Amino acid sequence: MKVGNPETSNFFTPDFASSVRFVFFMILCIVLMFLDTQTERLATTKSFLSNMLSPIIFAANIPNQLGSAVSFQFQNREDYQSRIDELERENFLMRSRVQRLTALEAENSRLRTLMQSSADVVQNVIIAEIISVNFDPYRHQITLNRGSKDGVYPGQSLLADDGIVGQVEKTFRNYSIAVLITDPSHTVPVQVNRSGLRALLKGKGKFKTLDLDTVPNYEDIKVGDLLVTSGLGGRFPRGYPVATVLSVDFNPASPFARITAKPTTLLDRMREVLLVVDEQDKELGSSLIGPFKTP
Amino acid sequence: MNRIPVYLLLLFAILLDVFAWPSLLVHIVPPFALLIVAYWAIHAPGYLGLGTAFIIGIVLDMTLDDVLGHHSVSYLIITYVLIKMHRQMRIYPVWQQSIIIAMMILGERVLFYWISVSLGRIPYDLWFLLGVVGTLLIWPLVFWLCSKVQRGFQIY
Repeated sequence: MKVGNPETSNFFTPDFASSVRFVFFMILCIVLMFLDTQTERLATTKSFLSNMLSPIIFAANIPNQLGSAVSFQFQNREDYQSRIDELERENFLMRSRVQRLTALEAENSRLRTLMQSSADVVQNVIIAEIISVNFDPYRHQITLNRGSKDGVYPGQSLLADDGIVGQVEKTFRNYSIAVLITDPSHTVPVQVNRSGLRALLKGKGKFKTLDLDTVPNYEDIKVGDLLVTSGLGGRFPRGYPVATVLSVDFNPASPFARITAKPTTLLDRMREVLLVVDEQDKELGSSLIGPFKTP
Repeated sequence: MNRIPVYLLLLFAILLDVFAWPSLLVHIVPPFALLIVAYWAIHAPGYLGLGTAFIIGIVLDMTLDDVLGHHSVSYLIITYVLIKMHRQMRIYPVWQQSIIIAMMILGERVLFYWISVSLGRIPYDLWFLLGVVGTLLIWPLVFWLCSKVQRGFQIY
């Protein structure tokens, strides 16, 4: 062992050698942190490392998957039957709604061509499974089992059945990391569906509440209002539900009302998400929709 | 080489660190891999040391999607201090060791979140300090396990 034996060298005593090594590694760490936060030089190294280390992420998730598999095995027949019935009913309802939707979509595009505005293209989706959830209150992130080889790109919107869930932050070959709308550093531009009022919806590190910022005291907003994405900012597609208003507190002393909202999706319960593929965004690539960066 | 059992132990500890703990436990869970490195820093300095602490920090940075070097900095400091004072640490009984290690983890947590804040990630509360409690409780177990491995495989 090169460090443990003092007799190998008079000068390099173990203590001295470990001090030198310590200083060396500390400088290395600081350089790495600087390069990683201030520049993009480490991008290729990081993607190489992440591909190498992806087995660890998948392995660390085995207990969770086993747990859900076991609970799946032990459901009894009646539960299954009632679940199937419920799903069939829901499916029937959905199908009837979709019939109406296709008609409406056609009508909408016809009207849009009449008005000579760009039509909303029908969007493709990728279905991704959530392989791990970061419960750290300071960073609400999920890891998805689809990566760049499946066509996932940074900035892509995440949908669940009830609305917008978040956006893809980083992609690697086999998996990608997405940030949820409840992350304290995340903001969604939204619009009140009833009145058209625009505002910003901020996460605060809690799964059940979001803050609606910069809404003046005199604005028209009520408890129960649906907030949909406004499409401003170019990240999220327009018109998807995000949250419902939970409480409105008009405080005359402050310029803005204090409004909290509740995400329409149960963010801590979902298992799969849909990734919306927007060909335009994809072509623009990393120049416009570059990797999401914390300030 | 009789290093394989120790590396397996480290790998297991890393898996525990990466595992998505339920939200009730997330703050109490101690840094397992750091504790394993701490044991070897005390009982066989030179066998596993600063290099391992650095590499484990990088692995955790990658798997937890953190800034490269973030975990390594605090892991290196703890390992270095323990290597420097390993002779004292060996004399102490296990409960006293766990108090000292827990105090070090307190320092590590504060440094870790201080760097997080300066990188733009804002903590809202002081719950992260609960990691000290987890360390206090788990150190005897880590000590027991690692000393079994050490005696079993004659690592000195």
